Amino acid sequence: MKLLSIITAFLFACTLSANAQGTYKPAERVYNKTGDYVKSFFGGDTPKKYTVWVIGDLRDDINQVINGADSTPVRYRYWRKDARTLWVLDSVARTMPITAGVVVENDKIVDISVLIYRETRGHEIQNRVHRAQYYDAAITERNTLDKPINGISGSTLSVNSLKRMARIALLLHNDVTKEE
Amino acid sequence: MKINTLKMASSIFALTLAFGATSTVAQEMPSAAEMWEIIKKQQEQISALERKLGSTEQVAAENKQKVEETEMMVEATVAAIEENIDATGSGSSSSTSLGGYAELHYNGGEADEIDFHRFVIFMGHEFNDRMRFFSELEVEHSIAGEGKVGEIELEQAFVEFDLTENTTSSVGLQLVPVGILNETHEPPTFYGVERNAVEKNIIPATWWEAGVKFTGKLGENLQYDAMVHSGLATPTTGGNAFLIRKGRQKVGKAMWKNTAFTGRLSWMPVAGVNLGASIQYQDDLTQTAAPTSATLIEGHADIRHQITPDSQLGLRALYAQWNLDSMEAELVGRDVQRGWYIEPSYKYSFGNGQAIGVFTRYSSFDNNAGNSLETANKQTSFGVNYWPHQDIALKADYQIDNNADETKDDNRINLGVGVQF
Repeated sequence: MKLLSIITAFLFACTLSANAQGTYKPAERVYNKTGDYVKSFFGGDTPKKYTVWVIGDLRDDINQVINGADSTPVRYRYWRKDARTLWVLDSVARTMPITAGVVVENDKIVDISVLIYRETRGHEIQNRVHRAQYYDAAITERNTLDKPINGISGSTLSVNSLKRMARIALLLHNDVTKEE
Repeated sequence: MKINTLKMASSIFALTLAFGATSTVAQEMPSAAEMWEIIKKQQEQISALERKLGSTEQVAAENKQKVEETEMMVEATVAAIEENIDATGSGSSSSTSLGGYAELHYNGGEADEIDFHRFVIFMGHEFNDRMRFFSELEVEHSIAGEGKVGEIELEQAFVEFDLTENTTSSVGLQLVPVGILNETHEPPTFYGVERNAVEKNIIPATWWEAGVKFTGKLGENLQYDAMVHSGLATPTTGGNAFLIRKGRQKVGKAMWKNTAFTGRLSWMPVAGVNLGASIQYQDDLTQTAAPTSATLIEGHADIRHQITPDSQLGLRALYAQWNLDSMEAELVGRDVQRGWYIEPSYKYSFGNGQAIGVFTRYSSFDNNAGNSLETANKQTSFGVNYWPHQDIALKADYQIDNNADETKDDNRINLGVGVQF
C-alpha cells in the first residue's frame, strides 16, 4: 500500500509538472474573462472605458471601506453605457487578491462575479447562492450594504473581500453618476 | 399738340433731374487713388487677421500637444505608482504575499498563566495563474528550544496546481481536510480564547500531514476533497497508548509505513449554511508491531444567518468518532474515541468594521469511549468576542469543566487577544 501510494504520488507530481510546463493556459484559473464579462452586460458590445480619480470625499469613503485591508488606488477604470457601469476590482482576501466584476445600475448591484480567484481556500464565494445575495444591494449612508450577506464557514476573509468590492463599486458608481 | 408739348417738357425735366443726381454722386465717390489706399489698408487688415488666426491655431496646436504630453505624464506617473505599490507587496497583485496571525492568552483558575500561544507567519508565492506556493511557519508558546515550553513548527508548505477550472491539486505538507477549525483557525474567526477541546483531542486539530490532495466541485454548491497522506503513529503503551492527539508526527522524520486516506464532502445548500462530512482511514494507526486499522468519521454544520445587515445568528455543531480495530486498543478502552459540541452565537456589527458577539458552547469528548465507564470530559463555556477591526479580536470567556477525572477540573476565566493580517 505504501509503495503504491509513493509511486502514485510521484507519477502524479510528474504529470502535474509536465502539464503545467507543456500546456500552460493562463485563463484556466480565470472563471470569466474580463472582455467576455463586459460584453455580456452591454448587449455584446464593449462600451467606452472611463477613469475616475480617487480624490476628496470619494477617497475618504473608499478608505473607510477598505479599512487597511488593501491600499487605496489612485484611480479606477470602468466601462459605462447609459445608466449602467461595470467595475473590475481587486481585493486581498487572506494573502492573495481576488478579482471580481461588479455591475451597477440605478445605484443597485445588478451582478457580482468572481473573475480570478487566487487564494487556497474560500472559493465558495463564487457559488451563485452566495453571489445572489448581493443582487439589488445598495450602499447606505454608513457606506455599508443595505442587504444582509450571510457568510461562509472557512471563507470569512474571501467573503469580506467580496463585500468590500461590492461597496466600493457602489460608491464609485454613485460618484460618477451623481451629477446627472 | 398741347399734350405732346407737355410730354416733351416733362421728359426734359426728368433728364435734367437725372443728370443733376449723377453729377452729385460723382462728386461724393473717392478717387481711384483714394480707392487704392482703401484697398491697401483693407489688405493689411486681412493680413493682420490672417497672422493672428495663424498664431491662434499654432497656440491651440501647442496646447493640444501639451495636454497630450500631460496626459502621458499622468498615465506614466500613475502606472509607476501602481507598479511601485505592487512591487512593495502592499498592492493587490504582488506575486509574493505575506500574512499571519497571533494570539496572546491569559488562563485563570488553576492554570493562572499568560501565554503567547501562537505567532504564525504565512508566506505565499504565485508563480503564474495555475501554480502557487503557500506556507505557514508557527512559533508556539513564545520560546522554543531544548527544555523550553514552546515549539517552532512548519504547519503548511505545499504547491498548488490548477488542473482544470474546477479541479485543484496540492502537493506537500498541508492541513488534513477534516472538521471546522483544522483548516481555518485564525483567532478572529472563532469564539472562545482557546480552541474547542473536541477538535483538539479527537480530530486532532491542528493536524497536518505530507501528501497529495485533490479539491474539486461536483456541482454548483458541492465540493470534494480527497487526500492521500502520511498518517498518525500513536503510542501503544503507557498512559498515552492509542491517544489520537499523541499520534501526530508533524512530518518531522515521520514514519511512513502506512498511508492514510481522507475524503470530505462540503455542501452549501443555501447562503450561510455549510455542511461537511469527512472520513479518514489508516490501515495501521500505530505503524509498529501492534497493527491497528483506524477510521475517523466526522460531520459538522456551520450556519451564519444574517437577521439584518448588522445582526448575525450563528450555530456550529460537530460530531467526530474514531474506531480503532485491534485487541490492544480495545483492552485500554480506546478502540472508540469520540466527541461532539454545539455552539450557538449572536454577533452585532457597528461602526466601521467593529462587532461584538456572544456565544455559549457545550462540548463532550471521550478518548476512552470503548470502555463501560463514564469517561467523558464535558465542558460548558460562554463568553464574548469584541472585534475593534474585523481582523482583531479581544476575547473573554468562562469555562466550566466537568471532567471524568475531577482533579483535572479547572473552572476559570480566559482572556485573549488575537489578530490576523
